[in-house]
Amino acid sequence: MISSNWNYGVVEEVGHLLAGSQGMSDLCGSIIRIGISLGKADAGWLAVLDRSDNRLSRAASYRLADESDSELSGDIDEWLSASKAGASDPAIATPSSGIPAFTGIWERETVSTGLIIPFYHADRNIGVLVLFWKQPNRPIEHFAESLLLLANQAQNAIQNMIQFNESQERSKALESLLKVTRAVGGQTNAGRMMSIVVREAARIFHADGGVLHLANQATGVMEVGASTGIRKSALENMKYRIGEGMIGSVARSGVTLTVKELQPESRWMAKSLGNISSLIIVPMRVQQQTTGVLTVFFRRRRDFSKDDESFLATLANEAAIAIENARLYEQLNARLAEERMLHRFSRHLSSAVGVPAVLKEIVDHVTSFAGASFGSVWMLDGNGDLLQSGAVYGANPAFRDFINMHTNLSLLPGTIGSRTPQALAIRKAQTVVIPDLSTTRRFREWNAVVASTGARAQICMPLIPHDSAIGVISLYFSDVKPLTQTERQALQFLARTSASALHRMMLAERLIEEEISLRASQEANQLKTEFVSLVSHELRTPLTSIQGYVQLMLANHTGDLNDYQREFLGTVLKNTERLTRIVNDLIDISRIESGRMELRLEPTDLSAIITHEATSAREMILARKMELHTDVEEGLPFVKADPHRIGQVISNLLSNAIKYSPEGSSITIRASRSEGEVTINVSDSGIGIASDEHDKVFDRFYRGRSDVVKTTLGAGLGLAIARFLVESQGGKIWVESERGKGSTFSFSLPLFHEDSE
Amino acid sequence: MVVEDDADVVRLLQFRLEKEGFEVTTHGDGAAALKVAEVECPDLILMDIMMPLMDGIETLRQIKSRRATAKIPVIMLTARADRIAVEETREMGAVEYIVKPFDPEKLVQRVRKALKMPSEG
Repeated sequence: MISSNWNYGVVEEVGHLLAGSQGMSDLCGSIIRIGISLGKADAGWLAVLDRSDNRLSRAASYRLADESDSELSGDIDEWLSASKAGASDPAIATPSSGIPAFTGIWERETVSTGLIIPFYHADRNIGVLVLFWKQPNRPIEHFAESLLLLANQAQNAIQNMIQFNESQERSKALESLLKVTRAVGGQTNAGRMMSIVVREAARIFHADGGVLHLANQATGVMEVGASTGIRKSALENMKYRIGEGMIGSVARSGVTLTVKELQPESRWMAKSLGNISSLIIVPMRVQQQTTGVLTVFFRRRRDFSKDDESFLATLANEAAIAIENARLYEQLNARLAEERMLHRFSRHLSSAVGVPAVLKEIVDHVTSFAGASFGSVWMLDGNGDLLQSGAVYGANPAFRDFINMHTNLSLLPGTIGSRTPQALAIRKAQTVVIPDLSTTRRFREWNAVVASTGARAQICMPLIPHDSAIGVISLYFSDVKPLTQTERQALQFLARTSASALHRMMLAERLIEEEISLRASQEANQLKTEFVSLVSHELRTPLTSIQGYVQLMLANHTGDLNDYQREFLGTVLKNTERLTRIVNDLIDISRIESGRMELRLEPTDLSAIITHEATSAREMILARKMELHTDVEEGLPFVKADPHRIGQVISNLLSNAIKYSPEGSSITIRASRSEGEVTINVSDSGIGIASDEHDKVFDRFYRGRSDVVKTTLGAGLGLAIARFLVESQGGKIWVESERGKGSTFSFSLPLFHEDSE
Repeated sequence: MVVEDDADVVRLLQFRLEKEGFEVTTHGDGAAALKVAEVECPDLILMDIMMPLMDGIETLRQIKSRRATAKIPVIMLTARADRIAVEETREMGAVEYIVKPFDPEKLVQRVRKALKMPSEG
């Protein structure tokens, strides 16, 4: 028996030796040397656990031929289990043990005995040492104890080394992760970022390749973001839907999937990628959402520890966040660019003056934003039958010619214009998209013409400020390029902005026009009222002198007059009175028209006015040997009227009656009360008025068709003024008459009520 | 006193009023009339509105605002027949408003009435 002292010494020495090892191969070398020395063996072989595939692999050999070495390295698990070597009992091997792997060795190495010492740590086989003797000078059991001690030490050392290597690797991996994160954090380009991630993941795991998929949860489609170790052609087959295949199911479940060994039948992508043995698929998650999947695959069998999974998951999530950030950044930039463009558009729109300038801004901006080659904007004319081209963008001469030939598009049914996309856009109040002019069957005539300009696709957007279209903008593309949802929305927004700007400018122009014409009519009115003042003074003053002097003479203030003088002066006076009446009528009409006729309504006693006017007309009546009768109802109530003006109306009707009646006939003025009003009639037996002229007589300057009227003197204003005066005092005026049977002119006025004031 | 810038009308008025027995002074503009009125205190002023420089309405205002002349009755005699002029002058204290052209006989009656004299015939 070996003394324990010696054993302790061995233990210590071995411990030192092993602790001083620099790395696994150094350690293995030490183990095998110590084993050989302790056992006084002739040859030896050592295998330790390979972390990458969790299997034993050859670590060192001593004095063995290469063939022997490789025979041992063959299927270690097989001969190890065949040897039945256990945790604390090494196994002796002899040619008669019947271990197939050793068969060649017995002969070749001319050894006769072997000892198989497995190393275990926590029930896991982490290595095996095999020693061979040609001819042991002692029974093997003699060395067994010390070799077992070695085994103990070696186990610990190997385990420590394994762990040390693992932590080395992990820290390298973490370093890598840090490097990736930094690299990726500095990236704003999502594409580049994804490439970095997938390459680093494959490198850290010593994988044969990797692929990163982005998952669009809304559409259910997974796109390849980046890959390494995969042929481009193979990538074509790697477009999955969420839930489809292994990668798709990780995308849906959000749970890591590891496959240590794919069954031959389900060798994944075998044709395109070559045989894949193991793979690990981790989800990329941002805020509880799976935004993608990272896959790392191996062509050899690989075991994955929990550390592996968590490391890759961390990497994947870092990547997910970074990719998301990059995407947001890209989106933000796009939005900013868009905002800037929109801002610029708005600025240009609001500084444009006049509808043509606005149309130009619209077509310029919208066409450039859409990336179209040319664009034109059309305005709908007032009736909605015609589209007129307003402004054009795009230097293509073919296009300009095209627009010049079609400046007006009729929208009436049956015309070519009504069969254009513009017409449809307006009718339906919706955007019309023709993705490929050559394949679309609608608008054939139009498309053929447009295609001659080189355009291959067209979009028509109606401009609708409130509820109906005021125009349409047409964009022409030289490529068949479909628009994304975002782009379409942006274009709609531009169309809406354009529509309201255009509408505003049209309103502004209309308002300005109205303002100008209002100003003009106000000035005209102003001139008219000034004219009225001028007329009244300038005409009346000389009339004053004429009339005044004649009246003085007629009153005998200049001496007696002979008959002729009296007669002639009388004629002069009569005519000045007529002139005066005409001037007064003109002034009244002018005032009425400019709204400056002032009426003072008060309780009016009509009977008094009638009497007054009858008296005033007496001379004229007598001169024509006519008779005037008045018939005023008893207790006639007061009316609400302007007494002076009512007097004017009655005087006017009376003088008409006198003028247009034959000598010797009679005239009657009647005043009677009816429901809420008083009616006055002036009847004569004069020439009468035909029924088709009953309305017209009240028109300004109307003189009637009858010859009598034509030869009778008058300006034709009296009845027009009378109508205005009566109606603005709340009454009505009308005539009952027949040709040759006399006329009755009547008007009514509302009663004066105390409480209505 | 007659304040009127049209010479023919002035002569017409002067002739008729002197025939009636009145003493008539005439002035072609409001400013001169005002000065003289302050000194001479006529019994009645017949005044046109449309005159250059100071018009009849302004002159009326001046007459009515000066103690010396405030009590003199004023008759407006003018081609301006709009209500604004009528009311304004009435508010300012004119006793009558006669529109041109006028009948000189009627004018005489209204002058006599304003002077509170019995009318003839």
